[in-house]
Amino acid sequence: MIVDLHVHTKPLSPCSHIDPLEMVAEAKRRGLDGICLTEHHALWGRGELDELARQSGIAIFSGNEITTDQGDILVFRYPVHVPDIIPIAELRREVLAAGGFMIAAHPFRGFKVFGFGQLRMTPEQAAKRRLFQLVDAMEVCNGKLSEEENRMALEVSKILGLAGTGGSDAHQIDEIGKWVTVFEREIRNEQELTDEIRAGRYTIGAAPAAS
Amino acid sequence: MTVAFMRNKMVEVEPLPTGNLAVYWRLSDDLIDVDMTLTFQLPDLEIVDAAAHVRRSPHREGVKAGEVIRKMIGVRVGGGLRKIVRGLMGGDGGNIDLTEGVLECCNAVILNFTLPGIQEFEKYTYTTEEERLAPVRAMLQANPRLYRSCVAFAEDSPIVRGLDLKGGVS
Repeated sequence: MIVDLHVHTKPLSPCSHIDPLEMVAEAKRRGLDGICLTEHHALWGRGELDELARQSGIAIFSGNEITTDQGDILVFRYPVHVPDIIPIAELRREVLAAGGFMIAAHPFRGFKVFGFGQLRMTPEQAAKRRLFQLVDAMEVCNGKLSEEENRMALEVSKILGLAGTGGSDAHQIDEIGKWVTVFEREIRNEQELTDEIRAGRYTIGAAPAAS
Repeated sequence: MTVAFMRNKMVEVEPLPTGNLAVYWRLSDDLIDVDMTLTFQLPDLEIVDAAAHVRRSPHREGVKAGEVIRKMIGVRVGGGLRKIVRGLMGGDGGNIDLTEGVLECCNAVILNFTLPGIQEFEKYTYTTEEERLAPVRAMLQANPRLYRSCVAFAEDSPIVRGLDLKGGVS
């Protein structure tokens, strides 16, 4: 089952240009079986999700992208609206209490924008970030990052033995499916989604090429 | 009536023997007198220590305003920095002077690394437009999320021409 774990739509994510109905049409055209809606500090209603899934014929899962002092976190199974930036330790406590699941989103975004040659951070150094002790998984393939940034995340995930996921982080329609997570089993809900990530029964890839 | 107002502001980056960077920032005018010191750990540029002393302030918290600066410990200079700093410092309702001070300290760290390269770049004379655009294209290729983020990086921009930033699966 091919799922894009990280997609933003308008108007809930004001930075996105993707209309939800256009999104599902494009996802189907690209051969995706499911989409995770991960709006910034905003949650879809269950009824709206079910209606979108019914109309489109693909699975629609609900997540949330929450900004913390340690960067952005994709949160699943935590249906609480978090309006503002929150310290990650506090978010971790609340999500664990609710039985939720946290993925560090694009953990190395922009880490080499400057310092050309001077700030050579090794994966071993990067693995010591406190962030990685407070999440269940980390995004190792994000469609908005460079190859180098994604490679660093992949290496760190291997060092830590932390599950790595793939998602497009799409904000424009043609970005959907740039990276996807391909699950071995059919997934029906967010509980099964996070169980499969925990169990490691998936691979990361790209959406089948759109015709 | 003549109104007199004087403001002094300074920021200084100092390499420490530990390999970290200390940034000292001070703002002093007729209403405000505050200084802060932030320590950044390399290579991750994480704020590992933060202190502020407020001697004079028009804000409600008065001289206790500096306590909020401890929230900056653990924040890294990187993507989403402005949003994170402003959010943790209380947003529009927070102490705007201290918030901007933190961001100016972070900016000083960035400049500490980027300025020498930029100065070298500006000394160079280019013979063709392609040659002039090459370093900018390399920067955009290394930071693909900037694609379509502003008019300079729009799809029909000369900078973007010839770059493969859409398909992108490697």
